[in-house]
Amino acid sequence: MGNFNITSGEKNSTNFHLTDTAGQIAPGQYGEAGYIVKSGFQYIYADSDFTFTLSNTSLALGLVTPGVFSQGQTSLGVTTHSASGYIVYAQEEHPLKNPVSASVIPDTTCDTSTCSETTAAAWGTASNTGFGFTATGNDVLAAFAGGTAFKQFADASLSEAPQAIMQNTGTALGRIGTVTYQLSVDGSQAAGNYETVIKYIATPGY
Amino acid sequence: MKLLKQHRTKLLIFGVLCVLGTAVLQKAHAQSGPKYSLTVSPTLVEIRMKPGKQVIKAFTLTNNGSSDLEITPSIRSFTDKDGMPMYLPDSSPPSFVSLFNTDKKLNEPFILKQKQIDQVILQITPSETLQERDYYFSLFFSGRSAASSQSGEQTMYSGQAEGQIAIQVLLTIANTADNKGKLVFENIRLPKLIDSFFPFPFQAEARNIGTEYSPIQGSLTIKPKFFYPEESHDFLPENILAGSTRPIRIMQNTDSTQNTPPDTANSTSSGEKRADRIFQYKKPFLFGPVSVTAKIGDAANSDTYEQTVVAVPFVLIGILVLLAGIPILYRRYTQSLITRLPKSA
Repeated sequence: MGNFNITSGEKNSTNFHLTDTAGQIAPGQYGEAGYIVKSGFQYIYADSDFTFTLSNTSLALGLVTPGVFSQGQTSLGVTTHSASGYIVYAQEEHPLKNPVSASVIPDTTCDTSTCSETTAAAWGTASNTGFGFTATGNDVLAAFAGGTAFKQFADASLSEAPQAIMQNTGTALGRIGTVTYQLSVDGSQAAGNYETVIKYIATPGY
Repeated sequence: MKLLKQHRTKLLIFGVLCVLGTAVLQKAHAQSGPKYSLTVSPTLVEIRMKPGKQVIKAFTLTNNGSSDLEITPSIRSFTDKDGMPMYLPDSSPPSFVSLFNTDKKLNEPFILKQKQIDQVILQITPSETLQERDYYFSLFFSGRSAASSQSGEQTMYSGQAEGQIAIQVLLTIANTADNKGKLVFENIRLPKLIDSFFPFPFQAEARNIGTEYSPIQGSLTIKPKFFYPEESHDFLPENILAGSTRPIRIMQNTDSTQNTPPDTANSTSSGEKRADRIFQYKKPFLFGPVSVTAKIGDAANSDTYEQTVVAVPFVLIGILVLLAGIPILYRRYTQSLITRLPKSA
């Protein structure tokens, strides 16, 4: 068990700096102080860090030929000593959209017309158009079937809740997952720039 | 003089090449895209406070990526799903949470330069009339590359990846220090009859039927009638939110599970301890009754589960039956052959 301390230590500012020792007061003092603060996972590591990395923050899928798949990738990295592990969610701000014409490329429904933000399915035929993703690597959910099953991103503009893509219930050091984006359009898709923001939410457990 | 002129020419060419080389490298670097790498500490904050009091808590952010980041702090409430936060679209953050920093505000971006360390200080000021209960929320740090801009890009289809780290804050507003969490067992899986030569599993979930979150305190005690001493294994003290259920993970020495392959998805390594959702009690040979007692909760509120597992050497009995049965079967077979022979013979 770690050592909890009453808040103390250096506090200064240009814009404030606190030493991170806010902690638990002795039993019986709650009535006087009126608060108890604990942080970190004292039973494993006190005040451990949580690190999240993305290999790239700009996703260029380039010029797309109708009827041909276009792909891009982002690698996600997580390091945490948290005893309760972590989870990574993914969500898109909106489907790929032309900001000028507001023309949209819908999210894929895969080859079987069944995939969604919660259900994965195979997507190997480029004439089934749309935008989707799959994932491979450490702690990636089994639903992606080793990168052969695709999903839609949860659409924040439709108030769809972010969906998990990576999860580990224990300490996770240097876990790397790779998201592969896949896009296919047909000849009727209006030319122009199509953009969106993919949000990856990494969070430790409790 | 001529030598100096030649030197100058060489230096000029070298200088131009250097500038070109740097420009090419910069362009290549820019094309590879900026990398996001953000570290936040601490990873969990638990606060118990009285209404009308104030608590501030500092979070340290480090930008280890290869570009400056535009960080937007925000607050979102969450619900529980097996010990992980789940963010619902309509979750509204508590109104009594803000930032203590003078230069930062919730939902307003600030720049965290490459390799820079900064602090975001959370301020919690519940009013004296605020309802006494638990409030679960996450402090989000949404980071976009400050350098990336979508204007002027020649690509037809593009996007931006945004990294967000969410740190959980478990807040209890209460006038007393007594924890009102109450844990009970659910979905216990334990066999009643086992073979003496095989390990037996124990698996359970904990449900918090109280009104405040509580760590899973408790242990599993196993006491065989013969051969082996009593063993006790603590539960991993993970938090369980009010009204939630989560699997219990049981800590055990790695030595006692050396024959069990580690389940990395469901285990935690810490020195010589690991924690598993499925606990395996493994001994070379168990016989007779084995008393299993699981206890959860504190002295005031506890739930106890007791069961006796009976170990019988079924495999050994089977082999003995087989060995005893073979001569009998052989005798019967030979007798049947004799009776089938023609009487004339």
